[in-house]
Amino acid sequence: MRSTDPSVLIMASLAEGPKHGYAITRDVHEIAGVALGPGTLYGAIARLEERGLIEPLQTDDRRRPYRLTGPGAAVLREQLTAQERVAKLGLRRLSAAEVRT
Amino acid sequence: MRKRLLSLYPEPWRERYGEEMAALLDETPPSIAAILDLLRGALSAHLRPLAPAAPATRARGTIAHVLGCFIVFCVAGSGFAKTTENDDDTEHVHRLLGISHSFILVAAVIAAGALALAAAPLAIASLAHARRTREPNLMRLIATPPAAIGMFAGSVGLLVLWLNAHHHRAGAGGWLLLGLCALCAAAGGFACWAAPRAIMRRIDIPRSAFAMSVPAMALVALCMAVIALATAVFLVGIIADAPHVGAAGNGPGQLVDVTASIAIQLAVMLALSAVAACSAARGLRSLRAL
Repeated sequence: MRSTDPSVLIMASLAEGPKHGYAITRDVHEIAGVALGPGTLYGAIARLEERGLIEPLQTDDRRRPYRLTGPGAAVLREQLTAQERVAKLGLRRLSAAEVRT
Repeated sequence: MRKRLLSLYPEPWRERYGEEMAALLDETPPSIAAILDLLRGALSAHLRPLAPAAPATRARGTIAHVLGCFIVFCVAGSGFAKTTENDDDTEHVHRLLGISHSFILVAAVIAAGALALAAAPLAIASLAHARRTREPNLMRLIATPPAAIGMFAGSVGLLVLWLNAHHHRAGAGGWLLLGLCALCAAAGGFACWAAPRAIMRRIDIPRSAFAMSVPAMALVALCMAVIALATAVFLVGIIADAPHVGAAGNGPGQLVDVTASIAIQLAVMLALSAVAACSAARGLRSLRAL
């Protein structure tokens, strides 16, 4: 998964707590500088909900909040750990290359 | 504008996420990027549908899809009728031409009857609902198809009167009226598809109505397939036995010949028949679960 993958960004945003669509788009813009369009956002929400990684909360409001599920938290941790490993390794190799030159 | 784009999403999707997406659109400033994103999302939602919708939703979808296909099919069918209207003697050249043409006419009559059969229980259910609730919007929707058909008939009547009065020389006025007819036909076709679709979403349709309408629409789809196949046979007959007829110019400005015209009409008919048949099969399956 890419670091700008909408699914990862949405799950990362929900890791802080339940949020509705608009709050997710604002949060994702703040933490990653990515502007999620409405079609992209709900396309990703539908896929995550289908896989049981997030779930909607009951509300009377038109803006339905979502929260990360247990399996969702595990998948997010796995994704972020893998990204962190790649990032650390990449940075280390870059530094080594800079020292050599 | 952006909220209207939500209507491009599949019905199960709108039922599940429509309100939330509308709320999100209310809170975000409009932009071209958001519009393009919605269009892309709608396409993606059609390609990757959500879990199967409720049986009633699928049955409504079948009726709307087959009706839409049939309306566009009628345009191609009218083109075929116009292309072959002066070829009465052609059908004596080869029996195949006469037989296929007869098949087309019979299937068209059955399709029209099946459409009326499908519409009847839905019309009764919607009129009963409108009488009970007196919803002005529902009443307007019910009045829309007859009004649209009336406008189209009126525009054709005007054109006929004009041509009769001007000894069948169209002139600028005639072309203007012809354009008006085409406009009324397009608007009427859209209204006859969109209004029943909107009505079906607003009212509770009894199972007995679906039990009659869905099989009737499946019969419409079958007739469309028969017409398309008969048109294919007619085209083969023209190419094999009446090439002189096939080579004649056709349409405004005689831009294409008869063979090419029928081939284009056939391609449209086959595509619409396939879509209608798939939708009808889905609708028939949903009846069991209703």
